[in-house]
Amino acid sequence: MFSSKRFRHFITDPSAVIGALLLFLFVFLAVFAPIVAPQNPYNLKTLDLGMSMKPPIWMEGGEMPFLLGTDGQGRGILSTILFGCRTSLIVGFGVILLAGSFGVLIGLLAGFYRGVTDAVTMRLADIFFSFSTTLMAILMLGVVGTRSILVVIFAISLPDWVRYARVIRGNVMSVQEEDYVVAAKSIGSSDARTIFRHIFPNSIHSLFVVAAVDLAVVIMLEATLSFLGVGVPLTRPSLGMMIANGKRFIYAGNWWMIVFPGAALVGMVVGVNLLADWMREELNPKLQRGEQ
Amino acid sequence: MKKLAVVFVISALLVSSLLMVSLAQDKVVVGVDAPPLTMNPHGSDADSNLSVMANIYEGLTKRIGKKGEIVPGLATKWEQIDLTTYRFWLRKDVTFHNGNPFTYEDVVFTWEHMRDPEVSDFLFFGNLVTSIEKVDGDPWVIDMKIEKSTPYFLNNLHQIFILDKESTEARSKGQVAARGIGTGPYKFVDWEKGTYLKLEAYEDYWGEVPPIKHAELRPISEPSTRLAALSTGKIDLMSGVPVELFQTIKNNPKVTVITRPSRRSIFLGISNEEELPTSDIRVRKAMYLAINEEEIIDKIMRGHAKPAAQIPDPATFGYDPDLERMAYDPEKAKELLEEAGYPDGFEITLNCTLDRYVQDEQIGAAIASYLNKVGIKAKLHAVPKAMYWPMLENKEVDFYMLGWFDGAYSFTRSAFKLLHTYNPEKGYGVWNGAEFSYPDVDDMLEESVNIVDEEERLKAVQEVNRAYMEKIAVIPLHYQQHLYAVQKGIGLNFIPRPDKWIEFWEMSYSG
Repeated sequence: MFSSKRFRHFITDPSAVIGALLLFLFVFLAVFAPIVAPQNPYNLKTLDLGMSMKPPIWMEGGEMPFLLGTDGQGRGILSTILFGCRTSLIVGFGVILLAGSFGVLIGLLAGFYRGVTDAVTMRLADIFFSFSTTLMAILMLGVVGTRSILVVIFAISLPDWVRYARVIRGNVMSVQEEDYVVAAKSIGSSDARTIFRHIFPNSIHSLFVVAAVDLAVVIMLEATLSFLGVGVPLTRPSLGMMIANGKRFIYAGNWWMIVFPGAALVGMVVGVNLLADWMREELNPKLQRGEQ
Repeated sequence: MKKLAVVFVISALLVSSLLMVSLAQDKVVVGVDAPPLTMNPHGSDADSNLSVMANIYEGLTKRIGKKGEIVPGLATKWEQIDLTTYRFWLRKDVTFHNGNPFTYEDVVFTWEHMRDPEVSDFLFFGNLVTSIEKVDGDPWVIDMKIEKSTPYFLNNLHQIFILDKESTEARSKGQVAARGIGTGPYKFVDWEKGTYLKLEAYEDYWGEVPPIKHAELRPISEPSTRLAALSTGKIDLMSGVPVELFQTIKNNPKVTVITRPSRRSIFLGISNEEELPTSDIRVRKAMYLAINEEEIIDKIMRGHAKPAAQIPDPATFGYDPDLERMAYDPEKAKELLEEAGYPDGFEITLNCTLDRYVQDEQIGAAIASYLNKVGIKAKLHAVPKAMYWPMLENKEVDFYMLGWFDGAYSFTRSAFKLLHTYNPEKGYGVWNGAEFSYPDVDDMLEESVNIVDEEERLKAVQEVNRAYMEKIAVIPLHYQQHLYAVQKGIGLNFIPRPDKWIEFWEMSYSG
């Protein structure tokens, strides 16, 4: 899967390199936010109201260490963005893990057993897929009562697993006709063994592509939920919440409160999408490039 | 021929523009943040609703102008006979908008209506009056007896609106709530819930017919949309200018900004239940000292607030001019916490709204941050007002933010609702969300009600006020400011009222 040929393809594709660099940058900053960020914006002890509404450092009135200015509570925009990216990525990978594993399992079962199992799970998938994430989040907020990051991950996962299930199911169906699967079945290999030893490893090639595309979608969804006030709790930094806060100030001329978090969100999503696009082309056998 | 056409077009334009000016002169459109909820004047005690009601309906008294002075309404004069009896002389030759004459029967019916929990938010005041009787058989002089001495009784009558008995009984509850029939200076024309309310001057009004014939109220909840409506001329006046937009609006050449101090104060209530750290007055004092109110006003309110040392505003009976805010002193706060045995602080959650008061959530966040700086591990729990009120009413909180202004200008009334120990049977402490309790001060409050002499009573009420403040039952923060914006150059005369009501009959166009 990771051959030197792949690497050559990768390094000669500028959009793939840019995508990877962007994603790497955001992941790095998010992971090391507590060290990199000039301030921990959610440690209430360090907030100073006297430092509120400062413009970015290159404008008149800007002050160190608030490179990109501050918001109404004296939180540095840069620091909040870094911690906010953390939330975005935690939710992103959390959903991939939860929705991905559940979706793969359902896909395997549906594709392997077909018939009634397939019909029931795929109709269920249709139903879940038609739930809007926003609606799910609001409903769950009503049931759980408090906003939490787990609620957000769960609310997004609820319709999201369908993406994985459908792709895996299709793959399983085509793999099942292969000789080695027929052979395994004929020597009396158990269902579980056939699924996990023979079918699973051969049907996950497109999983990375689905997951990569999904990551971008989930990051955007988390921002949307937080923007609408049904996402992560107020005490957790989030790009969506920053944009919602900044919206109130945009007429007042404090543009930095909305432009920078917006740019960070766009940057992260563009990075993930560029990389996902490259992976889709690269890992799709039907789009194999001329080089042999 | 061509020339003639041009002349015709130009003159048509001129005439139409002249017409537009004259049309604009007899119509005013006001954009507000909260829509009226019902046309039943007893159906909601929200100030946004009462504000509209006072255009269509009238009480026995009215409040007018910049100071909210009490003037005769449907009563021409009144007298307090003893602690629990009031005498009113009713105004003759008044008609409701449907032509029915106003009589003694309507007053009696109004109080009956107020006692019906299905249609009334004014149960306490409805049940307070035990009898309404004619004096010596004269239907224009009535005596009202009340259950117990209530010093603010007269002060509250301007928001007790008189209904027409005949048409209210004849119509269903839904119809009464959908179409208002009162004696007020404006009559109801049309109401599209949540979109607009149209009123027209009542030509047969007993007093001066209002100078502006057509009035329209448009609820636009999003402040920036409201501002856009103002700058494009769709509305003439807007209330509730958000502080963060104040400077932008001030720089807008098309609009003028009007500010006035609001009567509403913002304060924090704290529980003093025994098992909590906040039962120690030193801890409460430390919390008071830890908050830098000057900075909150400067940075969060953008200068549009005044520091408060007590809940009532200067216009309220019971305001004590000698009370002073304790100055910000975080070092002293830390010392006090150590003395009280909490050198490492304790955990506490501040509850507040995020859509009710000016910058409420931001103020809450700043306070949580100040408390953390002196070592108290404070967290913020900000929720929409629809979730917040039940939390206070069910006493689910230990530390909360609330805003208050007394519609009856009475600290006695405020104290019974906000500061008295919770007592659901008597209706005391309904907004005392943390169930704090200072029984000795409560006793002082209850006794002050029975003092007849007004000067003496004022002293007693001020003492009650001071006593609650000395116990640090609550931490007062600031008085808000009302911000309005008017279109420049249309000549609209608008003087903001202390109660923030939008009264069309007090507006006019000059020139």
